Amino acid sequence: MNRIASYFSMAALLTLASGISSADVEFSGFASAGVVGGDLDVPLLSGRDVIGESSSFGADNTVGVQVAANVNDDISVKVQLLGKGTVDSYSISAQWAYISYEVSPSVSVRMGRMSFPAVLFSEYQEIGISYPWVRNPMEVYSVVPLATYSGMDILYAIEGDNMSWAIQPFIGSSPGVQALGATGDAELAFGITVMANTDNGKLSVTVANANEANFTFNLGGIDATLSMDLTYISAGIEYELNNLLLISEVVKKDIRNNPKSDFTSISDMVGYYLMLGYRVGDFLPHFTYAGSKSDHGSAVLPAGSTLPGVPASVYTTPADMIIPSNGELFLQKSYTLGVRYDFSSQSAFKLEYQKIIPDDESWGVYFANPGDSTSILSFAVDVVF
Amino acid sequence: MKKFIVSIFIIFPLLFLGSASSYAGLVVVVHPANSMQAISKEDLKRIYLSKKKEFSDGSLISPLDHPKDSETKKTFYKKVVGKSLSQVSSYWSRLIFTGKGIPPRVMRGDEEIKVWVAGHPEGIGYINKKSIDDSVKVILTIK
Amino acid sequence: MRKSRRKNRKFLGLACGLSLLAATPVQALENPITINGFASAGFITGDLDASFYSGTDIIGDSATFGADNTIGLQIFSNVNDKVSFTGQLLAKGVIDSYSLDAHWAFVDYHPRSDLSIRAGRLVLPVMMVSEFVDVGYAYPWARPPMEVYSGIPLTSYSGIDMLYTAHIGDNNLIIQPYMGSIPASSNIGLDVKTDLGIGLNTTFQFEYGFLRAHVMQVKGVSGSDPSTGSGFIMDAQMVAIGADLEFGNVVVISEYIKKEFEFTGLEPFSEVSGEAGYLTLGYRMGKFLPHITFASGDNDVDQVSALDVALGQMTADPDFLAYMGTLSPAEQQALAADPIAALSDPAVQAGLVGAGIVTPSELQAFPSLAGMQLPPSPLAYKQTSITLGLRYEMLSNTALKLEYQEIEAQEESWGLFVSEPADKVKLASFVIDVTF
Repeated sequence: MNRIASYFSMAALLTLASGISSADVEFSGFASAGVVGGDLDVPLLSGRDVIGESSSFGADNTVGVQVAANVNDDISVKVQLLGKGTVDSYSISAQWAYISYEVSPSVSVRMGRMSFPAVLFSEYQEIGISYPWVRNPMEVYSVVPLATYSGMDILYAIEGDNMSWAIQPFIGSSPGVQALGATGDAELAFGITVMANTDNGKLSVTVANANEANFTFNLGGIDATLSMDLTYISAGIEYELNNLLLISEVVKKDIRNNPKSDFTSISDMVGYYLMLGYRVGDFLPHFTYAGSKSDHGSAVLPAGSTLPGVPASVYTTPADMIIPSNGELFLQKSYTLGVRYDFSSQSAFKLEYQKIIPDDESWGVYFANPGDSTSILSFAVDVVF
Repeated sequence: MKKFIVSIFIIFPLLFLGSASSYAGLVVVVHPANSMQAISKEDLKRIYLSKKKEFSDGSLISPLDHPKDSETKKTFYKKVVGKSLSQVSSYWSRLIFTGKGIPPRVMRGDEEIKVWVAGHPEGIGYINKKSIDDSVKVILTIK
Repeated sequence: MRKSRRKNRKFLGLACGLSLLAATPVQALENPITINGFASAGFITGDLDASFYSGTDIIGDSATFGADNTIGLQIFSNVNDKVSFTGQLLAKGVIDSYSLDAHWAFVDYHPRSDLSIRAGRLVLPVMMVSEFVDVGYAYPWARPPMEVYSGIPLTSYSGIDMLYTAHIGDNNLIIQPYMGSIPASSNIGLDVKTDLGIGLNTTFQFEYGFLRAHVMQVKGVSGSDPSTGSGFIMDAQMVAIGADLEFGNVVVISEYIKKEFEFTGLEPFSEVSGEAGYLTLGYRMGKFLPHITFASGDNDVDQVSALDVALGQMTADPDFLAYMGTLSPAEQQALAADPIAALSDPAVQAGLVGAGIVTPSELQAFPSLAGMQLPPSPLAYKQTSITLGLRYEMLSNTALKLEYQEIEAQEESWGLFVSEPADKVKLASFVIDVTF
């Protein structure tokens, strides 16, 4: 009932977004809808979403409304309301809700709930039209389970002649996140992003920490907690020269286990991708190679062994047990061939073929053994208004 | 000489107010056909806080306001309502977000208020003294 | 596959709803839709070893940032001269992690300027600030005094109310009777619903501010904790008075509430009765409002061990009786005489789990329940606090608040804390509140 009321409200907001805007409150919105087909017998993790057989239609369905309101000349409020087709089946939440104070033309302080800016497209991950793919490369975007945090940041912009810089330190915490089938929180999130912008592209480097990130899993009726300090170091580049488009990112995840953790996590890993595209009028054909690696080499527990702190009775087939769960450590590579067609300035069609090859000792981003390799075909429509 | 002394009495306190250059007094205006000839400051305060919603003949009142942060608005609320603008917006936030009241309609300034009042018998507004013309009727001068 | 289709249909439904709404000629009326909103953001620091209840929220021990984060969007639309619609969407940073909720959604019929009848989803005016408790900008504190605003697990309801304004000289008397029920909703970590509630709120506005009195009676409030499955049914009665006054620069705010909860189905525990109050004194100095608040909450309750309740629930399960039937008389006796000892027997454990009466995690929790008193916060607590605060009007529609709070749980109570707190808990809060 409540959900219906929320839908109704969202619908009303979307209506507003499409036309009316007063001097002090502005609306804009975005939406994506898509179809996924192929080897989907085993569910997989893509970004923070789980795509399974049953989500062949809802996986990429997203509706968002952004509200920007001016409180006075210096202070504004920004809200992003989001409903998604995956995991939480369209329950609507405020993905962002922050108060922004423009201290000077080059310095803003923001406080509230914001996106956790660990990688290049963190802020736009739900806005399909802002990137070429149907979904951001999973080898990088599945590594960061925290979408948002509550806290504050400072945006410091430096304008140069040919180049501008943006420096963004942030601090906060992240209570009560639903991720990877577990409830998680991070007591302290902090870090800094430095970005250089030129006419042709941008280069961004981020160090982001989530300290005391706790995920509680239910294993055979027993709650087990994974507690760790996470550090993400990432670098990303987006570069456009004439018709050629290059996007590449690398993210490194370092883990330090906390004493109070029931598990020992060994999920340090590196994820990376390189995308090359070539614009032909309104079409953008593109190719992406992506991979993830770990020093630990294996993500599957050797047969007969157990995890520290977890009673032996919990395991059914120990050899199938992933440490500590899928999504924490996945080793694979993938090839994506896609085309994006901008049929208006506010909408795009995307068609994509993806081949995912898990490493021998890993299931990749899958939640069970998917076999040697899988193929996925995706189609999506993205709009903004 | 007498005129000079009078002027000093007028100008001197104004200088102390700091906004002497812009503040030359406010007036409260209604539609020329409105039967009301005068209004008390107390009634005006109640109208702008939405505690009084009808004229004495039972017709609804539509009060008009100036933009937030405008000097005219600041002066009006200080002199008539006895509250700072932040106290006033705190007061309104209680009514707006409980669905119990709608604040006065905000106009861009004196000219827009005069045009609206001249076209609406239920309108009431405040403008700077220097903006007075025949299109509206003055029912109170705020000193 | 079927599931995905259903989802998809839902999506299509949403899209159709959109186009219908878009086709409605909302522009026809002058000033058809007004949008307003409010937002708060802040952080808390101090001895936050235990989560605590503040109003209808739980502030978690890890909620350094985010505890006070709130966003509200309000849509107001005139349907015609006499009918309007108001909707308020609310998302908060505590517990429900920013899921969007229709906090208010009602149609207002106002045939006269002094009469308004509202029907739909409304908010209970239990206390003076209850109806706008999420609009931080509207009051001086970072959060309203928790001793008074907590322990009332009811906020929005579906029903009808009336607002009648009587003019007495230059003063107004506003009479607000209401009735309604609470559809299943989530509150302070409980799933709550009620059968029927009625109440009357009266407010007297005069030169120096206003005075108010409120009575409410609710029948059949059922609450259950989704994580443990434990629950209760109660009838509640509340009487509250309050004053919000200004004498020149002096601000005086005070409230008092007396409440009674009568429980059924939770033997042997039957009643919580309590009272709570606070006094806030402030002095306006230009853009600053320093203030001090003394607050106290004192609730009495029949003490009962949480273990008794858990065992009571287990033994009331029909499956349990069936399971007892399979035991030998000696085993039955052992289970009745010393349940804790019997429950540690692996054979009994396996039997109970096998029959689906308890889960392994519930079994594990049994011994730890023995020392716990029920009901824990938020219904029963004894606590006092002193709060020193400063509100600063930074810019138009923007207030900054800084607060220092010392909270002391009294006697055996944990106060409003979820687990046993230190003798004196000290908290500092910073909040920024805006409206637009």
